[in-house]
Order: sequence, then C-alpha cells, then structure tokens
Amino acid sequence: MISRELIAASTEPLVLSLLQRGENYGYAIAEKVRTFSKGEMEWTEGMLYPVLHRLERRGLLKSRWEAVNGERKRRYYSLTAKGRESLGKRRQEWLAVHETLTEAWGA
Amino acid sequence: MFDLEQSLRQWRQEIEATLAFSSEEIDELEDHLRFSVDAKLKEGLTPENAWTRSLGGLGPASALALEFAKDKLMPALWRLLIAWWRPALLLFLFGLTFSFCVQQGYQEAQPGYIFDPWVSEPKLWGMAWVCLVATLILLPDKAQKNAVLAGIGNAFCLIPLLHILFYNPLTEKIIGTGWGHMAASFGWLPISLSLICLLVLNVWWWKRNAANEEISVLLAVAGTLILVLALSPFVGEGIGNLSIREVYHMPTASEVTFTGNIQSDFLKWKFVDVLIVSVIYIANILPFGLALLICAGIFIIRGLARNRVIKAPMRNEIFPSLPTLPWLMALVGSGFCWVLGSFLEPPVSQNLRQAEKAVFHPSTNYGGLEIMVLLSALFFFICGYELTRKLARASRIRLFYAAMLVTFELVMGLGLLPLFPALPSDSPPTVSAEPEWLTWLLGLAVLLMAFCQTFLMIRKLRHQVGVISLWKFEGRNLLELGLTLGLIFAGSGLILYMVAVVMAFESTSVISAMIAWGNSIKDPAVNHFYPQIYGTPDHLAFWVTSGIGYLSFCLAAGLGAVIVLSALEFIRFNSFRLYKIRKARQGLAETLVLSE
Repeated sequence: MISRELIAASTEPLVLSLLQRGENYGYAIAEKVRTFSKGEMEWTEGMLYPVLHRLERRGLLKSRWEAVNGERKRRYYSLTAKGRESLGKRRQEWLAVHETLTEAWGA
Repeated sequence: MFDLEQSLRQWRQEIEATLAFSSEEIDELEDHLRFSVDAKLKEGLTPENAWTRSLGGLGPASALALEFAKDKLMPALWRLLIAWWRPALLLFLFGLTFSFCVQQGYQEAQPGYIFDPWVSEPKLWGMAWVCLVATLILLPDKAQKNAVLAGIGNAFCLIPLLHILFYNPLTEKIIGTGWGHMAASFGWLPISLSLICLLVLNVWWWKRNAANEEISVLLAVAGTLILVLALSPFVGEGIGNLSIREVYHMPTASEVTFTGNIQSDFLKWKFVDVLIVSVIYIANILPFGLALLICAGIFIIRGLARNRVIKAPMRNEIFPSLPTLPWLMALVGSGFCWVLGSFLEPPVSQNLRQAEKAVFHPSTNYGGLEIMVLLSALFFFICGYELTRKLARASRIRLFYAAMLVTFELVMGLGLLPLFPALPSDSPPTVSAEPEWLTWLLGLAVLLMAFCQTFLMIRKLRHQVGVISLWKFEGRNLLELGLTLGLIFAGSGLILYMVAVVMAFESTSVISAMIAWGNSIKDPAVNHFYPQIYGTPDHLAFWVTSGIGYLSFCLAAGLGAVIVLSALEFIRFNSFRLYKIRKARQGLAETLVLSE
C-alpha cells in the first residue's frame, strides 16, 4: 500500500495523465486509478472532486455538463493546452525522481 | 425494503446541510454514487450493501465537507449568509415594520384609554401578509419557508410579552394614572396562556419542520428588533443625549468618577444614581448575559458541528436536541426576570433589595410570580431530567456539555436566591393578596431542585469543570478555551452578583450610605431624588429601549464572541492542515535529497 503523502503528491499528475487520453468523468477516473495501480493506491473517491475542481480553477482542466438518461447529468473533464503543458513538466519531474531512485537503488 | 432513491435523498439532505457544497458539486457526487452502486449491483451485492460500500468509498460527508470548504476558503457563517440571505432579508423587513408598529402603538397609547399595540395594525398585518406571500412565492426551499414563518410567529409572541410588561398593577404603581386598569381589562391569565400557547406552537413547528440553520435567522430577527428599538431614542423627541447615555449607565458612571467633576448637586445626584444602578446592572448583565452567550454559542457551535465544517467539542448523540429548547426558554425566562428588574428599578427601588422585591414579589392579584416560578420550575424540571438522563447514559461526558449544565444550574439557582430574604421584610411596593407560604413553597422547590442537581453534577463531573478543566486544557480547541473562559467569567459574575446582593441586604451598606447622601442632595430640576423623567409615560420608550439595550448588549457580546471564536477555530484548524501538508511535502523532498 502506497503511503498517504505519496498519493497526495501524485494525485494531480495522475489525474492529468488519465485525462490526456480524452475527456472523462469522475467515477471513470477513480476506476482507472484503481485498475492501473492494481489496488495499491487507495483513494477516498470523494476527494478526487476537490482536486478536479482545483485543477479547473487553475485552468489546467475544463469541464462541461452532459445530460444522460433523461434527468441525470454528468460532468466531463478534459485537458486544456495549459494542462498539457503542465503535465509535460510534471512528467519530467516524476521521471527525474524515478531515475534518481532507480540509480540510487541500482548502485 | 431498501430504497435507493430514498437513501440518496437522505444523503443529499445531509450533505446539503453542511453548506460546503454547491448544488452542482452535489449532483456530481450523486452521479458518482449512482455509478458506484450500479457497478456493485452488477458484482452481485445486495442493494443495501452496494449502497453502504459506495458511500464508504466516497468518504464520510464530514471529511468531504472539510475538503470542499477548505478549497473555497469560506467560513461556514459566510456561506450560511449567502445561502440564507433571502429569508434573512424578508425577516429583516418584517422585523423593521414590526418594531416600528409596536413602538408607535406604545407612543400613541394614552393613560385612560385602552392601550393598543395594534394601533398600526393595518401596517403590521399588511407587512406580515406581504412577507408571507413573498415567502411562499420566492422561497423554494422548505426549510427557508418554515424559518420565515416561524420567525414571524416568534415576533408576534413578543406582543403578549409586551402586554405583560406594561399592563399590570405594578407598572401602574410606577408610571401611575390608570395604566394598571387596562391590565385588569386584559388580565394576566389569558395573556400568559396565549403566550405559552404561542411559544409551544412555535417550538413544535420549529422542531418539526425547520432546519438547523434557522436559529441563525431567528437570531437575525431578534437582532433587528433589538437594534431598531435600541436606536429609537436617537430618533424620538424628548429623549436627549443624557437619556441615551442612561441607556448604558456605565460610561456615565466612569465619566463622573474619573473626571472627578462632581461639583454640582446634579452631578452628585447623578453619581449616586448611576453607582447604585450600575451595581444592579452588573448583577443583571453578568449572569444573564453570559447565560445567553453560552446559549447562543451552543446553537451556533451545534450548527457548525452538525455541518462539521469545524471540529466542535461536542457530539450530537450526547447533546440532546429536544431538551435544548426548554433549556433555552428557561434561561431566557430567567433572563426576562432580570430585564424586567432593570425596567422597574429606578422608580420603584432605591436599592437592589427593592428591585428584587419589585420583580419577584407577588404584588399582583393575577399570579404573575406564580406563573413565572411554575414555568421556570417546569422548564427546569424537563430539561434537568433530560440532561441528567442523557448524561447518565453517555459513557463519556464532554467538558463543554457538563460545564454548560453546571453554569445553567448555578445561574438559575442563584438567580432565585434573593427571593427569600426580600419577601418577608418591610412592606411590599403594592398590596399583596397572595399567601406568602405559596410563594415560599414554590421558590423553595425550585431552589432545592437547582442545588440538588448542581451538587450531583459537580460531584459527578468535578474533574471536568471549572478551573480544573482550564488546568487540563491542552490547546486542542479554541472553542473549548473560549467556553472555559466564559465559564470562569460567569463564575466571577455570580460572585459579583452575590456581593451585590449581600451589599443590598446589609442595612449599613455602602449603597444605603450612598442613598442617604443622595437623598440629602436636592436634584436641581425636580427637587427629588429621582427626576420625573423616569416616571412619565412619555418616556416609556426609554425603558423599553434600555431593557432591550441590555439584551442587545448581551446578545451582541455573546454572538460576537462566538463568531470570533468560530472564525479563529476555522483558521486554526485549516492552517494546521496546511502545516501538515507542507511538512509532508518537506519530508518527501528530504527523502529524495537523501536518496541522491
């Protein structure tokens, strides 16, 4: 099980990465995290939404509402140009950390 | 049979009540829940299990609310205001009209005529109807609708209260000329009964329909009424600057004392007057004001605790919901006695003893004291019983809760104490037709109950209340600190009060000496110890305002303290979270540096 601190730190890049593949909604994002991490990353699902909203406020994401099954409506999120840029940067950071750690352990 | 839609509705209500979410955010979370439940149903879970697990996966409402609210950096009270501005505005308008009409009614009333607070009846009812219709059309939310309706109802409850205040033979004695006959024409009993019925109806309605946040709106109405009435001397004729200062005697007292400017007879007289009056006001304001503060605090903190936006030192399962109200009513009832004392004090009494007598003596033939004492005893019994039961059942008693209880008991008990020495001595202000033994018996019963309960509670909770709890205070929660300090202040207030009482009963007391001195000085204006300004019906508004002024002072102080404490707690709690997050990040960074 991955520690809380690490999950908190990785949430934003993870969400951005998952949305890189196209727009999606909250539940599906949470599901994907569960599948990808093979259950290693345990989220309180509700906590995903403040993160999404924060990212949207910072202009990294945009969202739209879509009606499904008549009365219900769903909120879809997608990356903005700024979001892509930020993801690129984050990606490099995480890769650097990963490489450093691999190097350190490998030696 | 499990009903998903029903559960969803309940969950929605619960999460809406936290006020930390916008409706879009709740929609989004609901969509998530539905997805989750569907997925779990497909896995073969029963609907109930699917629901419970989905809810667990989403996280508890309290944690979510904290997370969502943190992001918005918006204190709960502010959000409350945003969510409730429409009912608050409606009630404010109604309160304004109400205060205006009632005040006009009193001003236009003349001795010898039947006083009619409905002198502006068409306006009042008109406004009430406008408010009601606007409420029904404009407010879609049921809780808000009920809040406005209950608020209007509560305002009308004030009318019989004002009747009681002005239409009794005692008031006639004070302001003279036939006012008391009107009291006879109205009668205590029907007024009291209608008052009780209205209150009961209100309570029932409130408990049944209204949301928790309603108390804030009700307080807003009370605040409006109080503010308008308190400000009215600034507007009215004949009540000059001096009177406004009289409303808050304390500054005058200090002014005279500190400038030392007591050369003229008038100022000397003023000094004596103010000093005596101050003692009474201190006695009145401190216990009652603090009790009210605590009460307002409970409601607000309880509201916030239920919203769980801040961490409150209290849990709903321990704090009983229904008995809260009788408790509040008992407090306000006893507070009412004190305010009444403030109304009566200067003309009737030249010392505290007389003032207490004026309030508590059965000087009417209509059973005023008995009703008051019986009501107090009833409320006292109901809430005392409930509280004791809940306390006994709760495995762990919270400091806050216990402290409130003990303070309340003390205030009630000590508040009734002066009744006894005052009664048998001298002749009462007016002729009493009541058997004294009845008064004694009733008072004794209440006092006995108060002290037994206080004793039991203190014995049971002696490690958790008062100074000891301050000693044990760990700085976890500012609200706790504030309330502990409040408790200590209340204790000091009670001690002061006792001192004042003792001084008043002491025949050779400082006050008596002061009175003698004051009596020897001729007031330049009317050649009398008390100027006529107090006694004429023209200045009735002054007494209304001064009483309500104290009330507003207590309320404002209490509310202010609670709001400041809540805000501090909100900031502290969130900065603590931020601190933790920062520290975690720092730790992570350090780990990375070390690994390199």
